[in-house]
Amino acid sequence: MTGLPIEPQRRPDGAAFVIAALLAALGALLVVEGISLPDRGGYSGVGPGKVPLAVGLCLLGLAGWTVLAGLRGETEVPPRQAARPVLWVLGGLVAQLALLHTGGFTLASGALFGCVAHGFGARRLPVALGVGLVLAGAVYAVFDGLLRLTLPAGPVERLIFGG
Amino acid sequence: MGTFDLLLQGLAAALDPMLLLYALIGVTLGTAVGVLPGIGPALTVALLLPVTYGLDPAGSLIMFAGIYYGGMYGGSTTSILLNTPGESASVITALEGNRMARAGRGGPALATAAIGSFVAGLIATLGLAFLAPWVVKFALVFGPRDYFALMVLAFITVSSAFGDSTLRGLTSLFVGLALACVGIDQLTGQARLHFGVPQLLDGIEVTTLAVAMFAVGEALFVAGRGNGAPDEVIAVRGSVWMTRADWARSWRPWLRGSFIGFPIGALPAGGAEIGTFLSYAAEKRLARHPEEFGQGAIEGVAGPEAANNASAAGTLVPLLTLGLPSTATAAIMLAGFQQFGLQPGPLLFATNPQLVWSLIASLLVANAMLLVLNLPLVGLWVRLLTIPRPWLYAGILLFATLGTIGANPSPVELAMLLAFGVMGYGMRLYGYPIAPVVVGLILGPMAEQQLRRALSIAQGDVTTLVSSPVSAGLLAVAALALVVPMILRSRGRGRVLAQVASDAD
Amino acid sequence: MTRTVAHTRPQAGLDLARIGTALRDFFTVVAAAIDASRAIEDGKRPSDAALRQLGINPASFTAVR
Repeated sequence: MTGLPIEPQRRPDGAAFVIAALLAALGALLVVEGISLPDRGGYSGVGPGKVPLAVGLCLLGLAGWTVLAGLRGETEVPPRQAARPVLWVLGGLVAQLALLHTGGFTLASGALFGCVAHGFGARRLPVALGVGLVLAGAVYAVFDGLLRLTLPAGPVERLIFGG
Repeated sequence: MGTFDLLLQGLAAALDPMLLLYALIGVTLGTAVGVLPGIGPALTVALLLPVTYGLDPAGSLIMFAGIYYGGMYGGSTTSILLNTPGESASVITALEGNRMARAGRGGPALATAAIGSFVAGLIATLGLAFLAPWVVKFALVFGPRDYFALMVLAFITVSSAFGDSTLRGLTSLFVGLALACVGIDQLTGQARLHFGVPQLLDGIEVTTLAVAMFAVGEALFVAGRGNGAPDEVIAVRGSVWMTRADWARSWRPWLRGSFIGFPIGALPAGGAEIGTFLSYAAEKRLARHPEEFGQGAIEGVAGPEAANNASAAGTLVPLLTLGLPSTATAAIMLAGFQQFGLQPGPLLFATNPQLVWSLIASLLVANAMLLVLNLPLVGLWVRLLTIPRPWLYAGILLFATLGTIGANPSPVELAMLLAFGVMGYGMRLYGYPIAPVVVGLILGPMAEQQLRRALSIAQGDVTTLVSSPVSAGLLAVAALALVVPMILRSRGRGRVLAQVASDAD
Repeated sequence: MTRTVAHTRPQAGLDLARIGTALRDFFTVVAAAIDASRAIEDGKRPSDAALRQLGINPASFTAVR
């Protein structure tokens, strides 16, 4: 290894532009909403639309600054990400979202558990799902029964705990 | 002394057997969750907060206090016993604590951490109790413009005063402020940014955001890192108790750590670990055997752990007296209080002092309970650490969603959890700090209220914002806090590169 | 007896210089602590210089990958 200093990333990173675009979109959204709200400012002269407008403008400014920083190569470069585990975790969350009201807490959370465990390396999906169902059922029993937290009931809950 | 009487009253109230039971449950749950790798005290509180909703206010508060301290204790157990200190709550504790554990001295390390935490919690809570009335007295002269200036200062210090990028800090802050605009405007009842979705009328819950970004985001981040080497838990061999020499070497660091950590926590600017780093540096300079540092010196665990806990209790000073959260954990606690219908601040001290003092007393009770119960139960907590990663993270996400579903079982809420989780993941990847988003979300509406109230009183005159010495002073400090680090960083960059060049071996 | 009088003058100058260095030391350490703390919060590794100021050997700081 020669005594060369480690150079920070110098080429403009596409990520900076995506981030700036997202920020600009959010900012624009706030500005539009801010403008369209009726200005019932009362004595203060600042109605409900003014603050969103201000925040939106600042976000647009920050978006511009982000572009500048991106051009100067100041964006962080994230380490390589393993796509498969991430997708399984996301899939589990989506499954829970979809199943919650039709299937009830146990099914939805059991699905979540199984998918996440499988994504992190639990080898067999059916086993993971099974463990998830049992655990979710236990959690339901403790939290809905004992601690009086109301959780959505589906076919499984009605089967085991009745009504 | 009026304060002392109130504290004693609070203690008497807190010693009710039912409340003690709640404290016990809180401490146990808090430790269990706090032990889990990757879950810091902020997330522990966010995850377990919904558990407390079903109880009466006094019970909820004491369980909450238990969860808070339990979470911190669990975190220090992980720091000492897990060989991937990057998942730990306190990096410094991990430094010396890990070494001690490897040398077979894990027991004393845990003991000194636990006792030091107790001492620090005691000192800090008493400090809080005696300091609070003075701050409240001072704060009662604050007008809306002074509060607004204070909040602007808090915004700036959380997002950009320290850290390596003002741009990223401010971006996070403004994203939080943007999210804060969703919901019904408190002053006029006007609905904002709800896009016709009724669930958004209540605004975005801080706990949903915090759990999404901390738990889901973190899970995604760890998932994306791929399967590294499995975490190794260092066994606790030998006795859990400290020797005489250990006590002799620990008690001064405990005290020093407490007195270092408390003021840092009480200032609106603290970072979570500043106190621990300072304590470590101080202990190393004052130690009789400085060469042991890096090999497992007990002072290096005793001092920083005390500093950590004192700092955490210190953040309660601005939170309870001014309603101002200075860290993400404090922001989540503020959300918790608001859930119980309480708005911390000088008004709460004036209108409902019993509640505030019983909370402070609960902290003392929870602290003591933690010490008595958890040290012997260390084996149980260690077993939690040995759960393989797949089941661990699956379980974490299960509990994370449990809280959200329990509080608000709508698909909209879960969709938000998912969306913010992805956002948190992205932020982690690209180096955007997460705390400013949470602080922006919870402080934004309050700052807006104060701004509009101040302008309302002044009939729209903007100069009122700097017209009082307090507000002008605070805004000036905020401006300095924004600009000075930027200047230092741009000058420092040349120096750092030069240093890297000379450091290269 | 006359010798003890000579102590006071140089002592004063020495104390002032010591206070100066002590203050500078203090602020450097505080700055290093703040730097390191924020780096950790961002999930990054603190700079070696900051670690050394705090008395930590950078080589043994394996906390952040």
